[in-house]
Amino acid sequence: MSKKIANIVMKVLPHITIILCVMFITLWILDIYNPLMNFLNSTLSKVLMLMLFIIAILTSILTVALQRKSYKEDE
Amino acid sequence: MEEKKKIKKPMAIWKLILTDILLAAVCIGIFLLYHYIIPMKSSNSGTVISQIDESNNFKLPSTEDSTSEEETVSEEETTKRSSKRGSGNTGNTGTSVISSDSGDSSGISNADKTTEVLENYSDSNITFDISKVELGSGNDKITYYVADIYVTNVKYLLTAFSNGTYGKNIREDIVDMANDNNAVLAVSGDFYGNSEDGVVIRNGVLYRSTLNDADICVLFTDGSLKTYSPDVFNADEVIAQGAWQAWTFGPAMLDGNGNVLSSFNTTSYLNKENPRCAIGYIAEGHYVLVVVDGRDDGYSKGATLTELAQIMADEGCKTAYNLDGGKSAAMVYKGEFVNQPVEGGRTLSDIIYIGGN
Repeated sequence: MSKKIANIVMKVLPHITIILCVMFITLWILDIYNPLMNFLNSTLSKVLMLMLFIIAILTSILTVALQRKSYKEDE
Repeated sequence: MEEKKKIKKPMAIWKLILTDILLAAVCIGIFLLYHYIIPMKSSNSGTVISQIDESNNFKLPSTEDSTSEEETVSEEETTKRSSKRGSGNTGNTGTSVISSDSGDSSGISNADKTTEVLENYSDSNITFDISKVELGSGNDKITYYVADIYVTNVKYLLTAFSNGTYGKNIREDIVDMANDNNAVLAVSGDFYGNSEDGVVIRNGVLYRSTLNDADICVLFTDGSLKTYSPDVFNADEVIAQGAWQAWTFGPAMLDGNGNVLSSFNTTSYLNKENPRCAIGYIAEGHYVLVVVDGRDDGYSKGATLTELAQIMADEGCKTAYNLDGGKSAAMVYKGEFVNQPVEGGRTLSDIIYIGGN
């Protein structure tokens, strides 16, 4: 069961990372044109940014763990 | 054979990425909807920080003065304010900081300037006239409207929130807002409701004192109007001095002595030719509200901030501050539009108005 959940998480996390990154690239470009609209400084943006950081770290840790596992299996 | 059938064929990578991008677009839509569209009332009812000093009254210009001025307008249609007040302003020659770098920094020519007085209003406490000014010709033409206002007290220079409510994304038509508040004259404000930060003081009530990157403009109860960059702004100091109104949009355009600033706190994108709205200060009790029309070739191309600064300097302003422009830029007199807002204008968060209850 836990393996199944881990698999789902492993599948979903990279997609959330992509979605958040595309969002922030768009907001960053909009912010260059009109900083007064606070595209990057709003509370919601800051919460989303924190989400992105956490998810990116989790994805990276899982990727490193998987690489280690496959390396050990190869040995 | 059956087992093979059960194994799903994975989606192609480009399809996966495309799905993610589409999902991101949906998320951006939801973000913008939440952040800029859905109205949210605030529980913040503000703190009263200043009271009007009824004894601190300014003189209105005498009838004789205003008559002679009107005559001057009709006789010298082309040079009313620029010749009368605009001397000594050298124009913006090096606008560059966060950067107003449109390249047209040499100022605007008043050679083809025509002025037409559209309206006059006068009562015991308020006197103003509204003029239509046309600069240039053809596709370079700029058409703008100037309300030259005298009040006996700053309590007649008021602001109002849409639906009378402080909050986020709460919007109302400027004509409705003007009518709701019995405004004789109204112009668009700073669209405070689009932002979570930025100083908001309205009619002596402090709603917000957090700063963002924009310049701040403060009208004090003694009738003076000052602009501040966010790095020197001190809310406590300004409150102690008796702030009556404070707007956060900008940038500030003049140096306090009527000279165009050498650089503006803005981006090059925002410095492009656009419809504009600005408030200017000439003396205690004497203010100017300017609305520039734009995005309409042959009628008015709009103004860059550099051009707007020069217009404000030519109007005789010592201090001038840019307010929300684009489709927001609008001036309403007695319930009717004076200018021609782009595509009929848009609903706004707030107005600046004269008159009232």
